[in-house]
Amino acid sequence: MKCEQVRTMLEDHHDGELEEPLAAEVTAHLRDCPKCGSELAKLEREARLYEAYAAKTESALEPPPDLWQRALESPGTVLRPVAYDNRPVGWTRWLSALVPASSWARQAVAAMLLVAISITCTLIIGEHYRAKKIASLEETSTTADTSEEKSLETALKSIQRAEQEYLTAIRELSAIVEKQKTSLDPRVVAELQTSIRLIDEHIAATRKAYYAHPKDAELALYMLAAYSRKVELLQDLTS
Amino acid sequence: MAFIYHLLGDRAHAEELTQETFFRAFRGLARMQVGAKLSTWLFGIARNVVREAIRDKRRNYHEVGLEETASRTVPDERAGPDECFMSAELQRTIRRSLGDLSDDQRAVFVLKVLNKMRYQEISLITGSSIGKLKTDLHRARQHMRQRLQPYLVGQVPGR
Repeated sequence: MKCEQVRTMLEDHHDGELEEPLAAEVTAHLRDCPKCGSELAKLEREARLYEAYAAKTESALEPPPDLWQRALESPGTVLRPVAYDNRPVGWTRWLSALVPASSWARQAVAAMLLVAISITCTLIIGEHYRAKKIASLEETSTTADTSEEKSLETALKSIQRAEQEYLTAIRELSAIVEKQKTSLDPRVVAELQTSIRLIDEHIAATRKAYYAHPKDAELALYMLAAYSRKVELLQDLTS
Repeated sequence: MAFIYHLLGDRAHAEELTQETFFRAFRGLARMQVGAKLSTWLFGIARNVVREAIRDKRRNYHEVGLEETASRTVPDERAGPDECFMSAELQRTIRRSLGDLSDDQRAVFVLKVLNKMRYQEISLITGSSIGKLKTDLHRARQHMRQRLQPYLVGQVPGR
């Protein structure tokens, strides 16, 4: 491969956008060509500069605590890509499946779930920023403690609200499943009962753990995830 | 929020637009395509929100940055080696240089170089073809390189 060719692909190579075997050819050329190698080194140096800038900006841009508070109280509630990316795979499928459903009951459930999901996301966000805030305020005074307690109180209320929303959704979906039960294969019904029993055990265990440590947001998320799994299972049966 | 800030260069307005982005995301949740990546979808909404804001205000957001407040919100002793070397002057230069770029160039630069996204995803966010994204990024890099030349010569950041 010639230098001119390599130069046109250098940025893509640096960005990891070159496909094989092209990437390997460019790598081989760079190993043997000091001039092209030095061009790549320039790109790498720039990249480090930008990385440092991005890191600096990111850390300086910690949203003020009341941004999430305000959003929590607004009809829009907060979502965050990171939080969503970490959610169990498949939730978008059942959520999207819920929304266009024709039955009024399912639409009502969908609305309730939206609230529950958004609360869950808000909790993840809240906890993320709360943890960051604690880290940055460790050495500061009691004024921070008051605001901390307030944010914790809000989080606890949100967890309880989310739990209620999940319970209502489960109740509604269970009623739909119950009506459909007679038309289902007895083996499916048996499997459903086993699955439901296992999930219920999981819910009970996580619930017990959470209520023993109500300030632990991670346990709250495990509990809400268990509820979410039950909703998912019931939704699969009703769709 | 950092994404919006990089596009605008104005912290207060970035906060406002972050809220607006989340609000729109929540309202539009039902319209999100099955299988779509939520981050892509949110970045797309954020980009539209920023575009509308720029169109409405037509002002140079990149004039006032974080440098003056950064040391208050992030104590220097907590900063890593890369962050320590990042002087307020250099931050200002990068921010203003970003402000010189066209909207499209700035978007691809921020998403690719600062957020390290794949072209495929950037294309979904911006609606631009990968070819256009590559051209815009190349030009953006050239411009930034030119503006940051004094900081790049003979200095290896944080290493």
